[in-house]
Amino acid sequence: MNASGKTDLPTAITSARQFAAIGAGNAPKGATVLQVDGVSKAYAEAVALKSATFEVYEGEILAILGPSGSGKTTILRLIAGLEIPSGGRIRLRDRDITALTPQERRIGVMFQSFALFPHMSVYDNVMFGLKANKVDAAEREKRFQKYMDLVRLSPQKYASRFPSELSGGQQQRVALARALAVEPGILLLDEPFSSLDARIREDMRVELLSRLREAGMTAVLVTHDQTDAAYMGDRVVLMNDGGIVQTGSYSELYHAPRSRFVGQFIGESNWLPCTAVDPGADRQDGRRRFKAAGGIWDCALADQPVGDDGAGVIQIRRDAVNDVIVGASTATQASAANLLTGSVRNVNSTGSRGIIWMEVESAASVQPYYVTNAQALAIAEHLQGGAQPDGVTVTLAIDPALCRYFSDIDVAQERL
Amino acid sequence: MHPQTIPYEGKLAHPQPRWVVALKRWLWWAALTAPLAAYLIGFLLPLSLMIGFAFRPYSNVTGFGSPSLGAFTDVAASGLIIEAVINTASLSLAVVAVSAMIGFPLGLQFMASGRKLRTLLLIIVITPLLINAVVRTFGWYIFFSTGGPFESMFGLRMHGSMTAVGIALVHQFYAYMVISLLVSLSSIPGDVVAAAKTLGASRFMIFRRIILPYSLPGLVSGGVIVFGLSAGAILAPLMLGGGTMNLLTIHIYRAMLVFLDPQRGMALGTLLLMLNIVVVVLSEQAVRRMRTRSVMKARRSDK
Repeated sequence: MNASGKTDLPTAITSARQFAAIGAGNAPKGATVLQVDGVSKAYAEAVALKSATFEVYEGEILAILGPSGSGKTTILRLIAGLEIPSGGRIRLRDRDITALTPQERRIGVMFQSFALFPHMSVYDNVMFGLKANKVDAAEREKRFQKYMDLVRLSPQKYASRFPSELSGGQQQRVALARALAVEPGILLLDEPFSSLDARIREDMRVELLSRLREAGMTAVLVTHDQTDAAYMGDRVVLMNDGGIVQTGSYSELYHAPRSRFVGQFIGESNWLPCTAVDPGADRQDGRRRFKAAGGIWDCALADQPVGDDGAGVIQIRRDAVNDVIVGASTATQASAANLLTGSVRNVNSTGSRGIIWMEVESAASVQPYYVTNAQALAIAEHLQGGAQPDGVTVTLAIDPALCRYFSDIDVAQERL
Repeated sequence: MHPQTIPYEGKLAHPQPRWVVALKRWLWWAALTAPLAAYLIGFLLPLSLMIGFAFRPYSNVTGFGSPSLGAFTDVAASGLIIEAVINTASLSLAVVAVSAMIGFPLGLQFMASGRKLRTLLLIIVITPLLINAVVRTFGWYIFFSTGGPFESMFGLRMHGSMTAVGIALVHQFYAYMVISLLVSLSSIPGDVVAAAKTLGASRFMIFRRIILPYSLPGLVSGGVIVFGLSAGAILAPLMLGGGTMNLLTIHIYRAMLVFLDPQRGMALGTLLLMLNIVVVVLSEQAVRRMRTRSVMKARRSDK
């Protein structure tokens, strides 16, 4: 802290531990609420979930992220008791709930479809769980008011409405009020935004997060959308092919991916096949030197050893462009590392930044890179309104901190 | 015309020639002719003949007499016939109720089952429809006959009782109820039942508050079918009731084939038809009322 009482924030962080700490700063790391211990699920035809182990702490929002078919929804259904695990134990606080029915577990679930009872009013929907749990009438009314207030729906205005008379966002709020009203030990959210319009999705993320924090609710969020996980998850469990691939805060997964899959799934990257310049040599900064796309590259290593022949792939984050030079790299520049020369075929802008589509030696498809709008405009002028059919040759100076080497070639091939 | 100069007006660039359009329209009506004719000859004609004969006395000797309401006034004045209408209605309602009581657990089990068990259940449900009615009813006849298996097992005399007829009718027709309920049950989204479970609802609560409202349309349409079939059934009452049951179909059978009084038979037939129409109209209204209240809302909110 300086004399004026303000804290000067540092401008850059480097270690994986620091990245991990970003997301974990939100929720107090309290007692373990939910413990999933070696839980698996096998059907006659296939294994849906290999042994999964993780904990959820008091007040935390844990995001389970993965592509479809990765087993994330299976985990949710196992925790809720809608499926019976083939192995492992599930504990909620100090209770072993593995063998309990969904009714006995007191776990709230907000379904992807919201699963409101379409033939019941909003009032009856919220009351349903309270009546099922034999909450007395006075307390029921109190809870209805309380949780409608919490989700910012006027109890008087919406009590007699039917789900079909509500917008998607309002339906989600009712589903949340209904799940929270029974005051469950933990709340499970299954793809909470996927049935919502893309436009209101952003607002609902902000809103749902505030509502969960306000209620002090411990929650598990299942999603296939990394933005959901990045926005809402204090920690992220990344799944693939029925197993947990990596657990950590989103920034930890982004900056310290342990496998090629994590590197591919989190963030946006381009990939270049490479060979090591000197497989044995370690540099002082922990980076290694590789040859790729006709240049020299200094890259960090993912938690993987460099293979005997040093063959592998380099991951380049799409926003890793430090500088753009029109033209091929000159002789002096050629000795410098992390320069990528290619031919720009297309230029566009998302509004906040420019995108250039570049054809790069040894990469199978055209790769997008993010540049500033000014840089995009300059390149667009060189393209001269399509008068240059072979594109404009451009050299990008890439930030070595955002380059990473992976040795697992077989996985790499599919996306190059 | 050069292809590039054809203006796009939201229609086909090359409209079909008029004679093609005319031919298509003609074919449409031609295709409708056959079912229309079958409907007129096979359904409307006999129906109008039945109602027509009900107003015309007929004698083997003198032929048709002049139109009269005689048969209807006879039937309306007969306490026996009024009792037969009540018997027929209550027997059919009981068959509907028992079919629903069998249909719900069976339907729910079906929905919860895997493919193999589903096939087995479907075979069990459909089998009565595949066996010849006389053979099937004869099976019940033996089962309930004096000194037969049922009587020697339970010491109860069932032959000639309304209960025996009811049991045979349920066996004969409950498949229609099951199939009708299955259509409704399969429209319940899985998430909705799962949500009810996670909210702590007991099985009974889930049935009463979710499954029952959702399956009302199927229950009612299945009920109408089973009611109509039961009210019109003749084989079971004849074979198991020994021909002495006071049911409308028995009276029709006797009027037509024993007393050779077609006018009375036709009048009784018209009465049976009216009973069915009343049931259809009442349940149609009930469904419509429930639909507008709940199920239409359900349909609309399904994405």
